[in-house]
Order: sequence, then C-alpha cells, then structure tokens
Amino acid sequence: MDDKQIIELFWQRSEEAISETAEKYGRYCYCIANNVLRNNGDSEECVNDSYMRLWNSIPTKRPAVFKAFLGKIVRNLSLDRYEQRNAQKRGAGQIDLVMDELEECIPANNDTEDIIDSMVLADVMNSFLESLPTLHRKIFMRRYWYFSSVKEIARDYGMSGSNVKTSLYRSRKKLEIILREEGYYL
Amino acid sequence: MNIMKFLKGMNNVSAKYIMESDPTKVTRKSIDWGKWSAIAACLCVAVVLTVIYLSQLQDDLPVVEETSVSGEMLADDSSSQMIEEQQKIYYEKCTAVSIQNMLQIPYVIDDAMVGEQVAYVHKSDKFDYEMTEELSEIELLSLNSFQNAGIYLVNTAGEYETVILCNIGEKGLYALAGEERPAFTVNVSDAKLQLPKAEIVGFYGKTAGTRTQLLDLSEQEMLDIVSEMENAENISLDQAANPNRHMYGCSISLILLDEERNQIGLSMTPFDDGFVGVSIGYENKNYWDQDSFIFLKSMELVNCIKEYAGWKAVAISDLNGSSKIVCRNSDMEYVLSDSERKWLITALAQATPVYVDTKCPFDVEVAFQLDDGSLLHGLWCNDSCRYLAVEGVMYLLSEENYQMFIQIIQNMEDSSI
Repeated sequence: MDDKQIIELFWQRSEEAISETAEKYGRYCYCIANNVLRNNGDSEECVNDSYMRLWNSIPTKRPAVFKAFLGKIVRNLSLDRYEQRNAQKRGAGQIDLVMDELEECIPANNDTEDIIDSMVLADVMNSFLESLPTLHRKIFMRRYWYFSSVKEIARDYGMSGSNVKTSLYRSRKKLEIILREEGYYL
Repeated sequence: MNIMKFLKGMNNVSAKYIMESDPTKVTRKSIDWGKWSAIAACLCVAVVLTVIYLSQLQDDLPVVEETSVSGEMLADDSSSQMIEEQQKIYYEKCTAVSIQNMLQIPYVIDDAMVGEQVAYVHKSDKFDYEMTEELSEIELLSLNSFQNAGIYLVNTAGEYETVILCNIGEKGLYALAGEERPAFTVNVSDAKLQLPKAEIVGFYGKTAGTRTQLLDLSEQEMLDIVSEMENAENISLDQAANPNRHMYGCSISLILLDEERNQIGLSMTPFDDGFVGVSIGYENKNYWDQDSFIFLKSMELVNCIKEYAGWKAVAISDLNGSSKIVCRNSDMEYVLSDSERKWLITALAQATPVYVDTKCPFDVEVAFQLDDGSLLHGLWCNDSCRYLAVEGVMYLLSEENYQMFIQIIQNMEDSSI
C-alpha cells in the first residue's frame, strides 16, 4: 500500500491505517526509538504512542512526506521519554554520546535562548545541511537525527569508524561557526 | 542553548535530509552463506598463516612475557579460545537486558557485528545450544569486538541471538551447590550476600579502556572469588556513603545460571576504601528484593577484583621507557615514528590522570612496548572526548594534544590505503 492510500485510511478513520503503517514503517520507527532509548520495552511503547499521535494528527494534517512525518513524531516522543526517564541520571545509549559530542558546539544557556524558536533553528540547520557535501550531510543526519552509532554509520557507508568520527568532528566545527555567525553565541 | 532543545529543534529540518539518510534504506552488507564452506576449507591455512604472522611479529618486537596483557592485543584471537572451541562446549542465550548491559553486548545485532563462523551448533535439552561436529542449520559465529569475551552469535535462518559460553556446564554440576543454598536466597537486606545454587557461566573482567574479557580462571579460583563475595559484609547504602572514596578503573562480572535456567549477573566495582559496589542484573525481576545495587565491604575482595581484572597503576615514568608504540584499529596497524612516540609520551605526562571507568567507545588500541620487553595496553577513544586509557588509568589530553593524536590516527589510516 502506498503512502497516499495509508493517509487516506487515516482520513477515513479506518483502524487499518495503523496496522498498515506498522507493517510498512514499524522497523523504521523502532530503529529511531531504540537508538534513543536503548530499551526494547520503552521503544515498543514509544512506537505505539507514535501511532496514536499520528492518528490524532491526521486529519487535520496531510503530510507531504509521510515517512518523514512519522519519523519526526517517533523521534520527538522518544526524546521526551528519554528526558522523563533520565531526569536524574544519564544512561548509556547513543543519545548520551551524541549530547557529549554536541556539547562543544552548542552554546550554553543564555539570554538569546528565549528568542530562538525551533523554526528559526530549523532554517539555520537547513542552510547548514545544504552547505555540507552529501556524504558528510548523510553522516551528520544519521548521527544527530537518527542517533545511529558510529559503527552502524561506518558499516552503511563503507567507511572506517575513524573516518566517520573525523567527518562528524569537522561538521560540528562548521556548525559551531554557523551558530556563531547567526548570533547563537553572545 | 540546551542540547536537548537543540536536538528537538532539529526535528524540523527538511524532510529531504531525513529521507536521504534513512537508515532502513541503506544497502547493507549481506552474508554470503555459500562462502562458509570455502572458509572452512581455508581455515587450516588461515591458522597456519596466523601462527607464521604472529611469529614474525614476535621476532620484530623485543621478547614479550607470555603473561603480558598486550600480548593478547597484538596476537588478537587468543590461542586459549581456539583450544576451547575444539572442545565440546555449551552455550546459553543472553537476552536479559541487565546482563547485556553488564557485558556491554549490543541490543540490536546488525550485519557489521557478524564475524566469522566458529562452528555448527544444535539445540540442546539441558542447555540452549551445544556444539556439534555435524553440519547443522544453526551456525555459531563470532561477534565482532568480542573475540575474547566468550560471547558469540547464533544464526538461525538469518535471525541472530547472542549467546555466552557456558564452559562449566558440560560437567553437568552446579559449581555453587550444597543444601545450604536454597533455590534462591539472595536478599540485599541480609548481612551477607548469599548466592543461589547455580552454575558459574563465567567471570568477565575489564579495566578502564580495555574491552570486556572472559577471565581464564580455574573452577577453584572462581569459587575463591565467590567465597570472598559471600564472606564480605553487606553494608546498607546509607552506611556505605563516603564522598571521599575513589573508584578503581576496573570491574569484574560474575554470570550465573540458576536451577531455573535464569541468568544472574553481578558486576563488581572496587573502591579504595575497601568497598565494592555490586550491580545485580537478572532475568526474572521477582527473584530479587528491593534494589539491585548493594555495597560489600572487604579489602580482600577489592584486591581480588583488581588482580583478576588486571588493574595496575601505571606511573607516567613507566611510559618513558617505551621503545615502540603501535596503534591498531581493525585491520590497520601503525608504528609511531620516533618523533611521534616522544611527543605522545610528553603529551601523556601533561595529561590529567583519572582513576575511573567510563563508557567511552574506545576503538583504537595502543600498545606501549617498554625497554624491558613488557607491554602496556592502551585504548584511544576516537570520539572527541580526548581520553587515552593506559592500563586502567584514563589520561585526558589537552585540546592541542588531542588534535595531534587525531593526526596520528589519520596517519594510520593513510598508511593503510
């Protein structure tokens, strides 16, 4: 079943929409959730919650890229759940490593925080991603959007882990410069 | 800006970037099952070549003590593992998340983690899997990065499961037995820890910066450690509070299999005030009372853990005698030039030593060959955290020295092309 048909099922309020979504994109959703949460039970719950969020979002929305729309929901719910679960303590999943890596290029809390909303950040990030060579952009997104491990990325792109890390390091440095230029550091 | 806020803000990037990097759309390396017969045929040749290669490597280096830690590193697969694999061996599935955490086994197995075929296995009544000399549809494979940890993969029609070696099980005896051991008696509020009637699957050890290793212990040595654990005083968390204690950068984990075939894991981390933090993992949560973390007090147990984990405090002056330093990552190997070697020793002298363990994804091995022939074992975390661990001591490099070491890693990669 293609995505348009699935979206149509959501609009018709047919529960088949969820089973079709789960069948087609269940693995994709689980991959995102598990990269963040590193816990089978939590990841499965998060994916199920995502289907419900999707059910409540369509209608009124009619996403142009259904898979990316679903991926964003899963990622957002996974990060929320991660925050709730790890309010006191950091765990051992990819997300902790990712946060450590980004610490050096993301400015600390400051007065500008209030005036930056996520849409502005998205514009900055889109420009930044556009400026990266394709391979480096894919690597950056795999690490910081999908939270894939360095080894997974290295395997998928036929590179050594060290080369992946070097690419990520250079991209982070570039991001730091762009964030400075955009006034995120004051 | 809060990093979490940044990560959430990234959610709104263009869908095209999300789709182009979709991890489920990447063409992954598939396993060519047809090659296994060829590999089996070549195995003898490979073993011979490996022995020759290792002999040459040994010739290149000054004489190395057989017991040196980094002897294992340079030789990669230990011969003891090969000997074990030629014997009749049983395996147990490892699916409990807490045990997987303890042994640092990945939750999701993908093709990149799949190593070479070790043997054929079949399902066993008494154990999960048993090695067989006959061709079987179930294959035992090595798990990349766990070559010496006694942790393997079982492939059944393309589905992977992690399994752990159960090398005492073949005797069909409970190593921890006796009427004084009821089916289950561990209670964290007891004055002493009492382990249940169980088989000892194995003891695993690691020091900061080294990979988890299956410890090569005799049954008596294992029972001696258990005895130290059970003789130690079980101190409540409140009473054990000591803000001035320091953690040694090592740990050992005991994996048990009880009468009901549940895996139980106890990971022990020693402290310099004679306390040992014990993190308990289990398959069946109902087994355990209250929390899954206790403190034991016993300096003997602390020393025992340090000894078996291979922890030793390395003075920076020890590294001054390094005549050769080798970096290794997967199939790449690079001998540092004289100037690089001298620079690295100076950089380590300038670095801040930290006696703690971390969860850094160490991926580059660094061997320090000393003048007296001994070797010190190090690992480099190539993940921008700037840690180089040498025999359990973490050295935090300065930003400038970090950049220099990155260049050495780059040299290693360039030299392998």
